[in-house]
Amino acid sequence: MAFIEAKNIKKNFGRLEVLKGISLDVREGEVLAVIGPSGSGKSTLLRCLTQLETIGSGEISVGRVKMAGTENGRCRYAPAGDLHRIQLMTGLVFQNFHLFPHFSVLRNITEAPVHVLKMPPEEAREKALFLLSKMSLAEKADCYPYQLSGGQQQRVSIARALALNPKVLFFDEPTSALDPELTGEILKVIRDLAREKMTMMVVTHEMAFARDVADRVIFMDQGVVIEDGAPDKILVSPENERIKAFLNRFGEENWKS
Amino acid sequence: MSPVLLNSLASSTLTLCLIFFLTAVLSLPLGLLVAFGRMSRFKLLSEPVRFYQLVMRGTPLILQLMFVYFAPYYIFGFSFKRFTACIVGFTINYAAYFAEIYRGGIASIPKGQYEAGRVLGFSQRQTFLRIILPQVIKGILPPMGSEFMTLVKDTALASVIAVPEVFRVASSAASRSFSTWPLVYAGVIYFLLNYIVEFSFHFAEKKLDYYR
Ligand SMILES: Nc1ncnc2c1ncn2[C@@H]1O[C@H](COP(=O)(O)OP(=O)(O)OP(=O)(O)O)[C@@H](O)[C@H]1O
Ligand SMILES: [Mg+2]
Repeated sequence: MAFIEAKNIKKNFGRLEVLKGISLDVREGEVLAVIGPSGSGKSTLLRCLTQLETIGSGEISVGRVKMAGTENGRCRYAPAGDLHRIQLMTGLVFQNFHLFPHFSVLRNITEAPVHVLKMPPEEAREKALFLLSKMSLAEKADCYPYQLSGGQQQRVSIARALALNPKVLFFDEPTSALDPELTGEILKVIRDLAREKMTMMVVTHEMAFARDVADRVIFMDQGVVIEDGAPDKILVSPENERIKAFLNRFGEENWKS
Repeated sequence: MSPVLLNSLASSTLTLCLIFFLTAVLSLPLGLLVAFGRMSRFKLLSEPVRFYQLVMRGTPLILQLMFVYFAPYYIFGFSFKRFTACIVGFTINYAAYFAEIYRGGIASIPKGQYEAGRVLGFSQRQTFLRIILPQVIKGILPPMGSEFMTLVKDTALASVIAVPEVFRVASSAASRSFSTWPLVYAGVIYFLLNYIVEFSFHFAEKKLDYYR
């Protein structure tokens, strides 16, 4: 059984159908890249899998715990306890970091372990310092988020997510809010996590990165998964016309800049 | 200044401070509840709350104080004591204003802060108390400071229901002695108290200046 299983997820915003029956599996230790044009529903999919949005119908389970299912056309979510367990198994890294501005870097990372997991503060602190040194940010522990560069803030937010020992990490365009010269440091962190066999699902516009790091790529367009397969197959020699058009547009943009 | 006047000004200043602190302590939390009611998705709650705020903000506080003091007798056959009526009147009035300040402060916090709290497993309550409220407090300090300075001056309105606060004591002393000096002293008292209020808020703002 895959670690994340989603079957036939549908999601509307009012009359707008944003996800039109998405199915996907993510195995343990796998890195899945999600690509596709703007507005295709990539963020919405991630937000459904991390419980920031509720689905209209379909099934989701994470780590063998059922999050939501649909019977006779009625979508039902699991009891709050199960949902909380799933929440703790999943981490999400936002495009705009969303660090807590009133907490120091260290406290951004320790707050959830201490108050959600009830970890002893000293242990949480040790762990946070370890994660910070892993992100090469040990000397920034006592800074406040506004004192950091975008790339540093994003690395803190990754450390904050990792502090809860999640089983899977979701990234929604983790480098899109960063200057081009800062994207590298984030991609390196994700690459290192992949090497440690962290299960990850990454929405990205960095095609070269997706090709290198992902075990599998899915291409979404207008709320459906059009292709699901090996990175080379989708990114290097795509057969689908829409994917070709998308990659061409991308190539041009990259070439122009 | 005669010892009698000094004495009565001192005790009326104490009354003023009591009105100030009781109103603050009661209407700050009440205002937060009112703000939640106003922001509720349930129209059955948010609309009545909005109407209550409209009445409180749309009519003179001086009339509200008279109403709280005199009306219960005609409606329920009992009356509050003067001082109690005064505190009730100030509290429900200031809660309505504070609620608006809270509401603005809460609305100014980006949605991402709630979402970050949520994905880290915080309960709604934890997210609000640990992540949202501290940031709200920083944001609303300036308008709150203004509101508290107004409160110091508004205590003068309690004279309308004969609460012996500074203005009432000073103006009756003035008419008894045919002198404006008691009123000047009253002005100085209000000013000095507001000097302290302004100073405290300035200090609090400085304290919270450590982040953006
Ligand atoms: N909260 C919302 N309310 C209404 N419509 C929404 C909401 N969130 C997203 N949408 C709509 O859903 C569609 C999919 O949005 P989504 O953000 O998932 O796209 P995306 O693939 O992540 O795009 P991008 O690459 O630009 O980030 C868009 O048409 C968007 O306008
Ligand atoms: Mg998006």
